[in-house]
Amino acid sequence: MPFNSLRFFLVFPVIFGVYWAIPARCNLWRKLFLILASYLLYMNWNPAFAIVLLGVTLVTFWGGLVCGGGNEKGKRHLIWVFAILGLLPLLVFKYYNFLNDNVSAGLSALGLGFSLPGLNWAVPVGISFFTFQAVGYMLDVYHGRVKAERNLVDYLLFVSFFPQITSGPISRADELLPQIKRENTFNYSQAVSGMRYLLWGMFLKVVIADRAGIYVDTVFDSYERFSGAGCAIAAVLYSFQIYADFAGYSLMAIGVSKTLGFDLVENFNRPYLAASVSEFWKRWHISLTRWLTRHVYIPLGGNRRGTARTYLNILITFLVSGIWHGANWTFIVWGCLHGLFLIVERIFGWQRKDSKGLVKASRVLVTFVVVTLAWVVFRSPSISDAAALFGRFAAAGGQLITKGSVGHLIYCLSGLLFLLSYESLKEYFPESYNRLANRKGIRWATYLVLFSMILLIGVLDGSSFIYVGF
Amino acid sequence: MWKFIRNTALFFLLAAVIDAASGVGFALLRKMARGGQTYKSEYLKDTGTPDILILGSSRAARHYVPSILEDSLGLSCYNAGEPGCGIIPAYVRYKLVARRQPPKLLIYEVSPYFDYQVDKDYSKYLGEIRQYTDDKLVRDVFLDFTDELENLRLCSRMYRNNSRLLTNIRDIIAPPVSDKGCVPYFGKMKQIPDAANRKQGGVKAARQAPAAYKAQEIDSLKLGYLERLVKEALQDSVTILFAVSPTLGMGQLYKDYSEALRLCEKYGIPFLNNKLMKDIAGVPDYFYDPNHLNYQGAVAYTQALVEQLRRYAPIPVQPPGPASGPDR
Repeated sequence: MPFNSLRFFLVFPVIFGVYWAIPARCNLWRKLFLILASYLLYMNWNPAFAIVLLGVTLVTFWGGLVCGGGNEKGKRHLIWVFAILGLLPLLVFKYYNFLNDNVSAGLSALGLGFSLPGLNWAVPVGISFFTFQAVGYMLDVYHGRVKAERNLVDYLLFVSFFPQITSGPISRADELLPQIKRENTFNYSQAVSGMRYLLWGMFLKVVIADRAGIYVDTVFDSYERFSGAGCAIAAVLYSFQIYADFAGYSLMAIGVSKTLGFDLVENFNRPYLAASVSEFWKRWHISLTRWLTRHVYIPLGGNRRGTARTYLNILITFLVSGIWHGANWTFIVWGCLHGLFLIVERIFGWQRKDSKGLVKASRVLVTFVVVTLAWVVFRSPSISDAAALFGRFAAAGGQLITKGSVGHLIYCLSGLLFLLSYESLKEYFPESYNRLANRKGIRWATYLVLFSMILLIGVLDGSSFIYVGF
Repeated sequence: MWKFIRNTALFFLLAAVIDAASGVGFALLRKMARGGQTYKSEYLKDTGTPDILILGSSRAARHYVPSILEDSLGLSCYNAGEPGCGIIPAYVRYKLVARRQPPKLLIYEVSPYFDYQVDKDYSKYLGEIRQYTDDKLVRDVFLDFTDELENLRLCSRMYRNNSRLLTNIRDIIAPPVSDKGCVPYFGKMKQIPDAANRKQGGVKAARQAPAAYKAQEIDSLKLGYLERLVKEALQDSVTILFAVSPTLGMGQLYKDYSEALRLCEKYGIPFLNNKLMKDIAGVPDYFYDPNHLNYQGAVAYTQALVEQLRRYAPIPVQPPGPASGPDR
């Protein structure tokens, strides 16, 4: 059940009411209630998906118990077994068909006609997110960063907690499990903050992301009709669409969690104001970046094994990031591109350079352009489509925009103006922002304007979030 | 906790006040419309009583010139076609007019995709009529195409007017050029498909055509409304006919008129298939794009249609003369 659906807004007050109606001393009942709500909401997508969720939860719970507390040789083998078992549903559901198709194509190119039957199963929603969270816990236990969880109820809630299950943020055990264990009491400031996150996330999703998506889909689906400028507008809008969509989801997940007394990790920090691609990755999908850093980059040796090995480790880490996003060459190329950008920045030391004024503005702009070009590959259905679209950037003929898109663009730009003003103010003028934010009248007026814009110009069809597909 | 509940309730109360005020504001904006879609909807809802009513999608809105029909037939005429819309808003518009006074003649320009083929979603049709869901007639149709929670959403006036603001303002400040509801295209095709492609509908047109055109699955709900329109128009003693206006050699695309033909046979109404009309369908100068006539083409087509109406449609044709009706 997506956060932007009316159904969720009818169900959530019930969850909120029942949860806080259970006394804090009956924490076990609260947890059981949240597990039940989480599973029911998850099963709303497809009841069968819950089996996969439960399977991954039980395997990693067991793995944590077996592999915890040491690096002995036996455990080193066992952790591999459990990691593979934990990742198996993800590998099968998400990558089997991709591997099968590519191996078959490779073999047929060699004149060997052989292929396995394809799987025609729907990929469980959020499988990449909850699998990484669960496997991440198990690896943390193995490395002694956290103690093995012995309470199955707490662990069930840790993996299935409904605000984050479909699109993250990917929480760490040392962040979320202590919050699950403690007896939460209602905190007014936290709940109000949660409502703010919820409102802002909804605004980003329906006013910016879904509105931009209408134009982006039109162009990406038939780019040959559009001029270079038209394709460039679509590429820029896609950058904002995916940001507003994913950040919107994350904010709503954080907001819902806060109203229930849980603090999840911030997943975005104004990524398009980054002055380098390295900085971009410290601001974009923060929970995945730190997962990959902790469980891929550092185990590979990080930057401790010389320059060449560091570059290789960066490339491998971003390759994993690309593969994590989906079983398509476009994601793999997108990941590799970002890896290469980071390597280039390291070679020239750009990521360390601090700048101000016009120089910084130029660097922010260049970073945005580079990231946007990579998003074109990410968004395209195939590499050949991405190449053709890049080719269109230089084309003179074709439409700039369609007649029917003008209204969508104006609505979207009004939302973008709001977003850019807010982010610039927070990034570059934090004192002014705080001054404004402390004035109750301005705060309330802003909430009402956002709410009105959602109803007046938002796309209110309850469309799903892009990252739910990952 | 109580402070949180109180402030949340206060927020929603303020939002409800703003919402109600916006409803009044939007109603005012609609009344101020000088043309365009907003004026057309208001006219059809509140005052329109044309003798000839034209319904359909963009091909209806751009191909039928009411002033020619009025001058030739001596009957008032209004083009209630709407770009991108099919049977759903068309049915509503007919009912809104007919409850005051049914037209004498109803010309329905058939577009299979909009009228009875399966569509991705209905939102593009419903956005136009959602603002009028105060009216029970409109609301009942609207709810047939939405989920069970829509009644709740419709409590919000802002939701009812979602995405309408720019259209409403445009129709006050700079409404599109219109001749009694007809919004013709001006200008000629920039790229003319070669003869070989023309038979296939043109490369460009083929790429533009939504995949659903090829699938040709039937949407029973939309088809049901098309049939209801025919039945209720006949009950209202309206002469109804289906028409297909010329295209630039779209022989292979959009050919599935079987459902429209079936209805025509079932109810004994004429089907004027002018898709390949002589002297128009093969003349690129008459087209704005392969699927739409320009103004010159619309005039030529409407003039040719007058002759067909005299021949096929048993309407009480009056001698040429001025006819009443709005000119927007």
